[in-house]
Amino acid sequence: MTDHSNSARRGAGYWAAVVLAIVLVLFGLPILGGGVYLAWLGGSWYYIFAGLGLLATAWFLVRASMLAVWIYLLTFVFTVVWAFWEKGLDWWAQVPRLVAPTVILVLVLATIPVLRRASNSQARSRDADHGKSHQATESRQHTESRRPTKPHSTKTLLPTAS
Amino acid sequence: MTRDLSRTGVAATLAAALSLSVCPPFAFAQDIQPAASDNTPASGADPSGEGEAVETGETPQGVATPAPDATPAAEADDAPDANANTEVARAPATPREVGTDWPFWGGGPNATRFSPLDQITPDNVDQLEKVWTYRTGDMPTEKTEGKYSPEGTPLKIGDALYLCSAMNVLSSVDARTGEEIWRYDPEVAPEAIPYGASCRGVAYYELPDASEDQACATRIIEGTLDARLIAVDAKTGEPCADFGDNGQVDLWQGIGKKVPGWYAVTAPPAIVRGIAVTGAQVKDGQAEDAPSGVIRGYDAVTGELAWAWDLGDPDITGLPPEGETYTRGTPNMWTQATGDEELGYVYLPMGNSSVDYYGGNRSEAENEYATSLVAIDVTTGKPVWHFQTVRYDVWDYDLGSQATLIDFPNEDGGTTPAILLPSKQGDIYILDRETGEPLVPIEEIETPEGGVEGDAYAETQPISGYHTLRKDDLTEADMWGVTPLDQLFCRIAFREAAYEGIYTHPTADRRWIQYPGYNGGSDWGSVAVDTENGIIVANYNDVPNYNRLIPREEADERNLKPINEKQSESESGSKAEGEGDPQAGAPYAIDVNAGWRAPFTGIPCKQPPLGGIRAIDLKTGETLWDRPLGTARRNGPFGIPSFLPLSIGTPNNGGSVVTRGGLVFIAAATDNLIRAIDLKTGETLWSDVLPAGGQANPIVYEQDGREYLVIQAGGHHFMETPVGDYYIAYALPEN
Repeated sequence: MTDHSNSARRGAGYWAAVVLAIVLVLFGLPILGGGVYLAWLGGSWYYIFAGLGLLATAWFLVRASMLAVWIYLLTFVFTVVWAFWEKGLDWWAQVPRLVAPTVILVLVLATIPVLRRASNSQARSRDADHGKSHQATESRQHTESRRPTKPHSTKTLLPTAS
Repeated sequence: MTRDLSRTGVAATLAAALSLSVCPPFAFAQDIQPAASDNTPASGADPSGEGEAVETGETPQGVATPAPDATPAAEADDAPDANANTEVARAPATPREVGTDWPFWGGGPNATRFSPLDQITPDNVDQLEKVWTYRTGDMPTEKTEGKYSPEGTPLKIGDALYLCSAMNVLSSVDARTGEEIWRYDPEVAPEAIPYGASCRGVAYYELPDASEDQACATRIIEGTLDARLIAVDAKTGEPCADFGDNGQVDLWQGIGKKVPGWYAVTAPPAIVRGIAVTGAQVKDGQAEDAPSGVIRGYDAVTGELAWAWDLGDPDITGLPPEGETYTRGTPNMWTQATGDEELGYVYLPMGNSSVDYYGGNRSEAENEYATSLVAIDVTTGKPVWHFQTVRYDVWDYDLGSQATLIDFPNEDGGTTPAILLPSKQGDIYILDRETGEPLVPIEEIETPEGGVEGDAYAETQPISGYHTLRKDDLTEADMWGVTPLDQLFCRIAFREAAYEGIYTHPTADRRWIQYPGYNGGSDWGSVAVDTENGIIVANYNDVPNYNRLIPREEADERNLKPINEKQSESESGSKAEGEGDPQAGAPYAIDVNAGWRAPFTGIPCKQPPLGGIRAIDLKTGETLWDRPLGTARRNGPFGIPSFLPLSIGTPNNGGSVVTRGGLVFIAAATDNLIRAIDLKTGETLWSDVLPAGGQANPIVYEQDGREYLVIQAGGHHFMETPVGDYYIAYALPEN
């Protein structure tokens, strides 16, 4: 982490993502813990994976990394497959299995602009730190010229997530 | 930034709300009978594969001997403890038929809940409109708050309805206009309320030899919460001076020390051959030393005790000997019996001993008769046959459904006079009315091992090879919730409990799952039978209970005391039946989580549907259609209604009426709706919102050429529906 990407993650959108991460931890920890216990009792193993998925998503949200989205997508797809395997088209049965996870999916997807900007910012910082290739210079100049104000202003880095 | 946070917060709440949307509040009706005294079946296994109709030594009478004359002979004696004269029964009378009238709790004398009226049909039922509302005025006071569950069904004879309120206030109401004709308040004290204030109905009796203007020539007889049998003039509501002690008979006689709320009547008596037969509800779960389950027959004219059947002491035929009581804690009958005027029998669906979940102290006689259908000859007061549906019942599977008299098709193309018996565990039995022999296959299933009483339990149980309302055993995947987290909690609870299917025995070291729960299967609403088309309509519950026996030391620490030891009213609050019931005398108390509700959300751990309604072919026992009963409109997590008009299947209490017009009328579910269902398809064709819960059986009758549907909207404390005092009538618009 460089200073650049740190400051990239200080916007309101980022903090929203952090709040989401907290929610995911609040669900994910007991789901993981309970899931381990359930498996030990001879029950389903699903909740172990779901709990891990939630916690990993939370971790990468805090790091403002797009990996959060991919991990949650994976968790969600795994959940849908498991839910239909367990209960098929029994829609009342699917309420606890799919509704909250779908809401979380929407929220996670909503953080994409934040995560992408942060990723971009990280990439630029990396390029700046690790070598001034002509392309990198040009791209920086390019981006700099596009941004008349301070290059790392949090205002301009922020997506329209707010 | 704040906007982002609030968005997340709103979204999370939405997630919760969406998921929560359909959790039916779960209350179980009380008519789950006693947790207390257990009648333990002596040995467990049943020898024959043909079920057991056991002759008890009395020769079954094909036709009972008519009494020589109309005047009750027995009552000549003055000695209070003399044996009751057993010849008071009268000649067989021709009972009133259902149709224009609704003369019995179950419709006609056969208790089919079938009406031959056909003015209202699937084509015009959507035009039904409310035509009158009658309010009894009997609403809970501060003292009785949270204890009302009226469960009332009216009678209709002639031009009047006869009904009772939760606290036994009687009224007669004009059948066409709903205006009150008379009212009589027996002034039942609030302390008399057992599990809930209920009066499921009254009985009507017409003197065979009286002149029309004779006082009490036609009379209404009611059993009250404070255990009285009351008779009033059907025309005026005045107590019948010639009945008992100025219109009332004290049922506490011979029972023992009077403890208000422990012994109460909530069902109408069955009147057969001039004998009013009544049992009583013994409040569940209190103690083994509880009031007796004695069944008594009283002369419907004079109120004299004609006979008493105390299964613990066959020598008692009237009052018990001086200074003694009827045998304490024996199985009782709290539900509606069915009379057979022709045979002179009364059919009693019996409950369990007074301690439900532990059977170690039960007597042989208790084990013989508990959870059985017993046929008593009303001319002698002696049992003729009995058929046991659960042996060594430790699940509170007492018989709650009134039995229905039908003609059952037999192999020769004819029919056999039969009796149809639904049960809480879901099995539907069909027996020969005269002999009690099963007319359908009875299968023996092995019960799971385990439970605190080990070998004392019955090894096998008789299940019906004809039909059961029971569904497949529960699995972990059937657990439910709002979010994955609370569903996970329920799944863990499932794995932690003892469960091996139906008849899993009670455990103390951990919870055990009882499925079906003690609300059925079928409960006091019973089933309706369209005898013309040969279709049974059964509404049922589909809900487990999550229970644990509490060892006595722990129960003492929790200060669980039976009703006769409670210090104050506040100790006996309105809690679910079985929730911390002491079962004094037994080594364990009992904790029932009725409906298996999760903490915090209050949502049942089992997924919907939690109740349904089914049509069954009478001849073959096959299911014709089966649908969830009840919508989600009133239910939601944390008790917040979701207003979703989606069919979900809620717990239900109360039964249905089937008509020749091809409709099933039923309320019963926790969505406060009364509805009309197409008998052929099961589709709901019409519904209306009731101002309170509809946990009662409706009736259908005709007045001045118009077909009426009447339902009580009384609510129910344990079904968690709003309480009211309404009787509401619907009819097609007059053209």
